[in-house]
Amino acid sequence: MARVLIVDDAAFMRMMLKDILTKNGYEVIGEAPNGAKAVEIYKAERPDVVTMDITMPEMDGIQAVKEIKAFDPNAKIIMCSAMGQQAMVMEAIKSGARDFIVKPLQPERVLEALKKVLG
Amino acid sequence: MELNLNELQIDALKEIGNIGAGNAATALSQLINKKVDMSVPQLDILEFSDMIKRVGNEDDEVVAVLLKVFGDIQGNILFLVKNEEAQKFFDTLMFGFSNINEEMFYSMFQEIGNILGNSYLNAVSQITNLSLLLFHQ
Repeated sequence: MARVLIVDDAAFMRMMLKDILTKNGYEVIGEAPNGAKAVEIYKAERPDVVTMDITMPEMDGIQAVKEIKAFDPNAKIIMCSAMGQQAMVMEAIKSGARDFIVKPLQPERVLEALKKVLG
Repeated sequence: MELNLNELQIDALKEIGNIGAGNAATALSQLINKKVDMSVPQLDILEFSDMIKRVGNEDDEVVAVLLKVFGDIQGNILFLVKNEEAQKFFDTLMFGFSNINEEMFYSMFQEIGNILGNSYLNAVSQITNLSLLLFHQ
């Protein structure tokens, strides 16, 4: 069972994502409302995969990806953001994210992305 | 306010609004898993204080999400729903979840506003080549 860390500043979004994941056999090992907390939980828990929002208080998702990748170059991170503008997608991928999902989240798309990065 | 726009410019602004709103309507439809229709956008150039009259009744109670746009263009996006419609959103999206508190209600509307605002801007940004970012409080 793959261990997932969910990062999103919206409690509602974390709840929806957790619901999709747990119903499909994933274990949600932690939830973070900002990038700083995400980095902290990543270092302590070493999850198999991270879902990462971009626009968040304290530390945004792009910076969090950079810090997690610096700590663990093999970290698998999937961006989940409403901000689908090309420049943002490119920046996330350049920073080390493996995939980019534009909200609203389609459960099939989320599961497909997870399968791909874990495969 | 003096803003002289010719027919073509007005038409272009309407079309930009139409594409943005179409993209947002698609996002909304995916979010609630229901068909969403929209009317053709109307463009008005008016006093800020007349805006309320334009969108509804002054006495209506509404749920409102204000999003600040920054980047190449500064502005605001306001997402408004009447209370009874807001309840329908909540019932649809929270179906099957228990222990839902007021914080989750706020979070849900912030996120709906965020997703709709961004899908609007993503489309506008694509056709205009402008960089547009959202900030929600």
